[in-house]
Amino acid sequence: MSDPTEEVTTVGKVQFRKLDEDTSWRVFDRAAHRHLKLSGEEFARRWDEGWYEGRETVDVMKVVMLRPSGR
Amino acid sequence: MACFASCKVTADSYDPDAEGVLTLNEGDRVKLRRAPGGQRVALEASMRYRIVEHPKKGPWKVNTTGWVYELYRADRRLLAFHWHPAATPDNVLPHLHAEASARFRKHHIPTGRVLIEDVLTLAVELGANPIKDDWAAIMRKNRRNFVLGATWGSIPS
Repeated sequence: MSDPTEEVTTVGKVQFRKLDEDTSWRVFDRAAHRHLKLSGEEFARRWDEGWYEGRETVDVMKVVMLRPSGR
Repeated sequence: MACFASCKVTADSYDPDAEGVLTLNEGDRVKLRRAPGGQRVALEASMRYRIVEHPKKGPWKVNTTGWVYELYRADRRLLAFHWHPAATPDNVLPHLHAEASARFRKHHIPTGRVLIEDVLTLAVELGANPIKDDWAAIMRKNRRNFVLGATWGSIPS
């Protein structure tokens, strides 16, 4: 039996889908590249080291919000 | 969102022990249908959430733990509604960055709780043209449902 949480649901022209861990990280990584010209890994390292304290720009916070939990 | 655009909504966790990330178009802008002759309005949105037990209406409910809603017009970011209390413990209030204003863009203008319905309603004022004629009634219904389960930031319905 398929896992119902993995199914794609569609409402009108809106499609709902669950991402796996790797895809969620790719979304974060792509946002870091696009908004900050960094890899997701490098951004996460800098964030964890406090490098962004006092530098929390709109784009920085947008990327932080996409960071998957636990990584 | 179905009142306004074609898009993908993704979430990365159904685990009650983990905070999840929800995005529209995997972090890319969603282009909202524009009014004839109007400028293009677009939305970027992501939310963080936690699935928790609901003691009264259970078994589960979803608590919002952060959001980013940004509105663009003609590819220019106009407004950025942010709430990210876990990431910035020194600034836990929901706020707005008035990106269209050089004077105020760096300031955190307090907003109270902001629903995506509020942002989409503002998008209409900025020139978005809803796909569905009954979009305003759907927004009102969503807000009423929100009030029923909200633990903070309820608005008059």
